[in-house]
Amino acid sequence: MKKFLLPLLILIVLGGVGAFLYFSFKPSPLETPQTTWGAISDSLKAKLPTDQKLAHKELTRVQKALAALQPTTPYIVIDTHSNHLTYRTADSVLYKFTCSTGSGSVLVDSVTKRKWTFDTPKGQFKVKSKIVGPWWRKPDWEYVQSSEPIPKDESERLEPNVLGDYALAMGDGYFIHGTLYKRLLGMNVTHGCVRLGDDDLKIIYDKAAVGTPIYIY
Amino acid sequence: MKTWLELSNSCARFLIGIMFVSLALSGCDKMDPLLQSLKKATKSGPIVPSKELIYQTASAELTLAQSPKPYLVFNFPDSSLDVKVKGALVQRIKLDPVEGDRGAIRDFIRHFAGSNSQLVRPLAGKYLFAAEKQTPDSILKIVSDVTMFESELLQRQIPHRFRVFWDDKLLLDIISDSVEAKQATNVQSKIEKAMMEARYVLRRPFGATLLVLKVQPEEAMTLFRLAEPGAPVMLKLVSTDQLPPPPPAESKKKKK
Repeated sequence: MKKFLLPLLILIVLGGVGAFLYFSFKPSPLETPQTTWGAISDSLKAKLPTDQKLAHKELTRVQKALAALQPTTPYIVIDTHSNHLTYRTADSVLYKFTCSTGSGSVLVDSVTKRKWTFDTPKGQFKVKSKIVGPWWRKPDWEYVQSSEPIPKDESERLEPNVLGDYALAMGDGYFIHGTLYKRLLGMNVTHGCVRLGDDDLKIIYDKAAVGTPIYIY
Repeated sequence: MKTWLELSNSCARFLIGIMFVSLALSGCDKMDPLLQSLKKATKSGPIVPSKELIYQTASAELTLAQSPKPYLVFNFPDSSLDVKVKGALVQRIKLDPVEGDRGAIRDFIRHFAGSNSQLVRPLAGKYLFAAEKQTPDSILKIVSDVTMFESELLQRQIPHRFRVFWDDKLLLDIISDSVEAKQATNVQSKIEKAMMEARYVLRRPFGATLLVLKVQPEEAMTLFRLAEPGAPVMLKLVSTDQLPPPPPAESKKKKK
């Protein structure tokens, strides 16, 4: 009897461990807003018209609409995860530079309770304007961060020679510009702007015209 | 004694029986259009989804492109894993399966699509096996003092290997050729890692699919950070510019 007891016990223990490992895994709950997936689910249930001509027309329409989203001229792409800026077309990468993007940290003014999040904005933008020899207009957070009083005279905020030789405006006060802190390129250390090295900035300034699409992720 | 013998025999038979039934069930696929085309396709031939499936997937991508959030596309015609924002290609990563061949990709597509033939699915989660710090902590401390940002926020992990999953049976491992990466050192991490592997081994006979891709370290870093739970992932089985042929009646008219 003992001869069979041990193999049986081993079988039960192995079965138990196996069952635990098999059933213990539970995928984590999804965090995507239900509205987004609701819209996607609706699209995935969409039916083509039964009439072949109409079906072909509808399919062509959707595929053309999708193809139209891809720029046909070179565009700028900023990867805030690996801190790279690329100037590319759909087929190839023309230039790839190391940059610095937003740190994601939060600053709260203890007096006014005003709050700033130093993130590089994500999504689709475009080069709104190009500036030679930009001056930095220090925002309020610069004074809050360094515990200095905010100047009343606007001219006191202006500082030359800190943003490099060129700047490309993306809107809402965000720029692609140069930096004094070249050793920090490749790191997420900015207040939201995108910093480039001097030579790389010159190339992007020369290549990217006003209106060039910018994609940030 | 006879009772124990009978009991162990019946136990073994019961377990073997369950295994066979499960194997048979996992092999049963509903014959939807995608699965039919998968079954019909030869090993080297392309997988051609129905027009309706192409339409549904393109419509879903148009919806995804309305959001500023990036989404991932397994672009099989171009053998790449694409990152797209607002419908534009922002990063193309070469699809380089490490283990398995075309058959592994075929299994992955089949499991991804499931019985509903759905080519867009959200990620359920991810697990990091091993990683290295992008910047040494000592340097980050100095940077942190200069920039006045917390060093923890500035640190980035370069994953050596991580796993993303859509459900408990559809897994994708991404490994980078970052040879410097340190393996998990503490006991808890080692146990977790062993359990993750054991779960897959146990589920393999029941239809679990694991695709392993090799990417560059910086690509792994981007993919790991993009692979948040709920992140949309889609499969592209035919080229976008490969418009379907017009219906026969139309082509006849043109000929006339």
